[in-house]
Formats: sequence, structure tokens, C-alpha cells
Amino acid sequence: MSKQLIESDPFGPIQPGPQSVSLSAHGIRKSFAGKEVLRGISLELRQGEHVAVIGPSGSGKSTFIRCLNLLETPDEGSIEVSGQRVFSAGDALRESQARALRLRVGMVFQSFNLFATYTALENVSLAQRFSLGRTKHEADERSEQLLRRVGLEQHMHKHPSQLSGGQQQRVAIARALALDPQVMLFDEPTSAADRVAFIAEGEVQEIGTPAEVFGSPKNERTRRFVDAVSGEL
Amino acid sequence: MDSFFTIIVDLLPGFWLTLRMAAASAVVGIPLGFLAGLVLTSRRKLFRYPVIVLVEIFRGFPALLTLYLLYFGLERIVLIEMFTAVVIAFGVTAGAYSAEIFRAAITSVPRGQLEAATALALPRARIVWSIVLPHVLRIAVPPIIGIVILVFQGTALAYAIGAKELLGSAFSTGIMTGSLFPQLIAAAVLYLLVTVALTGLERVAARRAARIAGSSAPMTRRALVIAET
Amino acid sequence: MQWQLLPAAVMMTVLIWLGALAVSILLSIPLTLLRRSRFGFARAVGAIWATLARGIPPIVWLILLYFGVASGLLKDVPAVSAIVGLGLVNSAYVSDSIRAGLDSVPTGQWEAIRATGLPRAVGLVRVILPQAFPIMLASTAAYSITLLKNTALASIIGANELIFFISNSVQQGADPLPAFLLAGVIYMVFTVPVGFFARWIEGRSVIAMVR
Repeated sequence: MSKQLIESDPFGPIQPGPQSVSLSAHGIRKSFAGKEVLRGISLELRQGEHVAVIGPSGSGKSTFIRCLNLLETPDEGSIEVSGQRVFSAGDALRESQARALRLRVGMVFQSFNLFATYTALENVSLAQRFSLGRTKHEADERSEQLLRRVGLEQHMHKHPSQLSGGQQQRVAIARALALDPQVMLFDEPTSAADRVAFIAEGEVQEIGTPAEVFGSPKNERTRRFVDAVSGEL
Repeated sequence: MDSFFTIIVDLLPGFWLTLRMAAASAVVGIPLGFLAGLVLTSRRKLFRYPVIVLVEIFRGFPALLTLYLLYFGLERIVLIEMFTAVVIAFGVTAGAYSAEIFRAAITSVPRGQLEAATALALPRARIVWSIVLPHVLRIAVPPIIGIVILVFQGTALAYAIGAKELLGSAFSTGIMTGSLFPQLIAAAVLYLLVTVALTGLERVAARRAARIAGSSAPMTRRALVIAET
Repeated sequence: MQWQLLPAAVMMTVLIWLGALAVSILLSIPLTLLRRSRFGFARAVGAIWATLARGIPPIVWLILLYFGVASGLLKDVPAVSAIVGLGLVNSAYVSDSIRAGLDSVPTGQWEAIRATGLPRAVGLVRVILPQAFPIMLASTAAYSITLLKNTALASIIGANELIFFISNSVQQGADPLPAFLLAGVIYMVFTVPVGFFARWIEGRSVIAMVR
């Protein structure tokens, strides 16, 4: 995964090249109850790029990601998808606009948020049918395809409560992919990983659950890395 | 002494009236309760407050009083016949109790699922129909069955206004033939059978709700007990 | 309307209510012990008791006791049949409240009692009950609201409580609508505060558990 840090003003010259920009956000500001959480964030996502947003807890990472699909409405700033302006703070936001954006920007939640009363297959098909207008047949076919690709063929007709955390995450990913979005947002994906391995200088320094490795690392190097990333140093 | 079987058979017309009264009251009351519960989730005080007052009134009045109010209380204004009075009285009582149940069920839909539905660009109406409603139904069904049981047992009160439902027929037959105790026992048995059957249904529904709706279900159960009374 | 008789009628309502509440609390103790007994037979007896108490409508119980059993005080004083009948019915609900309260205490507490060598009885009284009590209280208070409203049934067997008084007044010529509404208001004067009390206790106990 390539790493790019968020800067608080538009970063330097845009690299010229054949890559087109899938998503760009400019000058996003957001306050909650008088407290400014996002102070003018800009980001450009190029096609095929994976951008990891990292930062200390409380830095506004989740809030920023949620602004990108308008689960939170920025107080200031604008968002463009494939060069088309889809959001401008200050303009009234219609539900149809927001929905159009969300069809292009998919999201996988930290707690997956699968629909508890539906099977895995139905979870993946629901939005295909009622957001995209595909027929039940088309939707189910595509859902089966996606679920097979993530290795959940045997579990298609199970309810989320019958699936493990890792399986639920895969259903959540399939569900978001089913709408063929141009951009995928993942909120805290590693917290759901079964295990995390920290590798430095060609060796595994530490391996364990996310809580162990990020929360209470045993290895000195791991601890320094985690501290540096979370701004404790 | 008539055989137990004959007693039961003679009570069947009364039993049938009881069942019809209970069913009609439930059909009136539960949708009413759903609408009330819906209004109770609204943010507009203008909508909520009148409903809160009505709910408190019909939960605060004994069902018998509500029945008397409709059958005798309105005598000088409009005459309501027996069956209608029973259905309206128990209907609004059931509605008042189920309002709180539906309100709790509607607000218990996990926020995360609503956010996910929004993130998937589902239209608002579809979110209500496909996400909110199924969850509400699964959570609300067990305590609503509890309300149905209360309504069913409540119809016995119609005896006080002279209706010839189960209790009424058992009593009058018993007085006339001097066999009051056996008649009452037979009626009690019939009430018991239906109640036990409905309670079993309630438990099955509760298991299904807990299984599918996940952890939100048990938390509301105690609050619903308080709400039911 | 003979207003001077109203207070006595309200007193009778309260008497039947508190009497039945006392009876139900007293009866709930053996019932709970039966239902949580090690012996299958005892548990079966408890289950049958609870099923009968809840499966037969309260009014049927009252009529059974007053007209059916009809011996001694049960026959002479309708209020006694009401107290016994409603007390019996409510005992099942109070027993449920006790169980809910006990079940709400984390199992770790029972283990801690055993681990520290505390005698079971002492542990029950000094460790478990204080934690179980708020839930038991909230639940019992909630059910007692239903109990209060059920005292109206006593009017059907002739006890001179509120509804009986109001019905008689109406029969003797009082304007029915205001009369019945007045009765309703009087009930609410009792049920609404008790309702708030029950919800308040429940709210506090949840905070205690989360802590």
C-alpha cells in the first residue's frame, strides 16, 4: 500500500500523466458542536491508487472518509468524481445528488453493518436491485459471482449472525463492489484482521491480533513504529 | 352431572364470541399502536405530545373503565352496542400498550445498518421498507403477542356488560343449572389452552428475533416489560 | 353523586391493591424457590402454579373464588376474594421479577462468594440481593400498576371500591361521562407516579450495571 499523508492545504503540482483522477476533495472543513474536526483537507485519488489514511486517534480520519461519500456533510469544500463536481458546500444537497455520488464511491464499514435480517446473498443483491435497478435475476447472479470470488460460496445463504468476523467483512466488501463503484472507501480495515504482522528489515518483528500489535506491542521496534505513527513521540 | 365434554361443547358459542372479540380488538388496536409508535419516534413535539397524552390515558385507565366509559359513559350522547364497545375499548387499550413497544422497536434499528443502506445509495422509502420494517417486525412480534394474550383474557370483562362470551355463558349456565363450579372450571380450561398456545408462540418468535436481530434484542426485553405494564 | 362516599371507595381500592400486592409478594417467595429448586417435581409444581396464575384471566379467578369456592370469608366479603385472587395472579409476575433481578447479577458474584468462603445464605443477603434489588423493585413496581388497575375487577363481584361506587352513582342518576372520567383521573393519580418511579429505578439500575 502506498502511503500518502494528508496535508492541510492543496499539495503541490499535480503529476502530469495518463492517469485520470477518480476522486478529489478540496478544502474540506467540518465542525461538530463548535469544535473544528477537519480544517481544510484536500486529497486527490488517482485511478488504480490505494491511499491509506493514517493518523492518531481523534485526528478526523473517519470523519474525512465519511465526508467522501457524504455520510457527513462538509461545512466547506467540494468533491469531484471523475472530474465532475458532485458536491459543493453551500449549495443545497438533493438526495438524488448524494445517491449519485454514493453509487460511484463505495464504502466498507469498520463494523461491516451487514443487514441482519437478510442472507449474505440478499445483502449483496439488495442495493443492486433498488439502487441500480437490476432485476433480481441479474443481481443474484452478480452476487453469487462476487461471493464466490471472496470464497464464500458455501455461506451464501447464511445470515450475518452465522458468519465469522472475517466472513462478514468479505460480504461487506462484496456488497460494496456489487455496485461497480469507481472508488472504494475502507474504514479501519485492519481492526477486523484476524492477525497483523509487523515486518521491518526483512523480518517479522511481531505478529498478533490488531489489539495486541497496535495496542500493546511487545517488540521495541514495533512500539517505536506505532508511537511514531500515532504522534506520541 | 353432564360430562366434561358436554360442558365444553355448550360453551363453544361463547368461546367463539370471545375469539371474535379478541381478534377484532387486536386487528383494530395493533395497527393503531404501530401508528402511535411511529409518531412517538418523530422529532416534532407537536405530533408527539398529543399521542403521549392519549397513550398515558389509555394505559392509566383500567380496561374495564374504558369499557364502561364507552358503553355507559356515552349513553347520553351516542349508544354504542356491546360488541363495538368491547372492540373499541380493547382496541385503544391494546394500541396504547403496543405504541411503546413499536416505538422502542423502531428506535432499536441499528444505526450502522441505516448508514450502510445510505452508503449503498438506497432510496429513503426503500430503506424504511426493506431495512427498518423487517427489523421492527421481528423485534416487536414477541411482546405484541403478549398484548394479544392480554386482549384475549380481557374479553372476559365483557361479561360485566352482559355479553354472552365465554365467561358470561359459563356463569349464566352455571347459575341456571346449579353447576357453577364445573362451568367455571371448563371456561378456565379454555382460557388456559389458548393462553398457553399463544405463550408458546411468543417464545418461538422471541428466539427467532434474538437469532436474527442480534444483540439489540435482549437489551430491549426488560424495557419492554416495563413498557407493557 | 354522594361525594362523601367517594373517599371510602378510593380507600377500598387502595386496600385491595396493597392487600393483593402483599399477598403476591408473600406467595412469590415459595413460588420462586419451587421454580429454582433442584428437584424436578418442585420445578413442575412451580411451573403449573405460574401457568395457572397467568393463563386464567384475573376476573375468572375472582369469580371462581367468590362464587365457585364460596366458603367462609371468600363468600362473605368480596374484597377478600379480590385480594386472594389478584394476589395469586400477581405472585407469578413478582416471582418473574425476583428471577429477573437475580439473573441480572453477574455470575462472577456467585463464584466470588464461594471463593471467599462466605456462607451461601450470607452471600445471598449481603452480596447478591443488594445488586438484584433495584431490578426486582422496578419490575414489581411496574406489575403493581397492572395490579392497581385490576382492582377494578372487584367491582364485578360486588366489592365497594372506586368503579363500584361510580357505577352505582351513575345508576342513581349521576351524569355518566364526567363520573367515569373522574374515576379514570383518580386511577391515573396513582398509576402515573408509580410508573415514573418504576422507570426511574430501572434507569438507575442500568447505570449501576454498566458501571
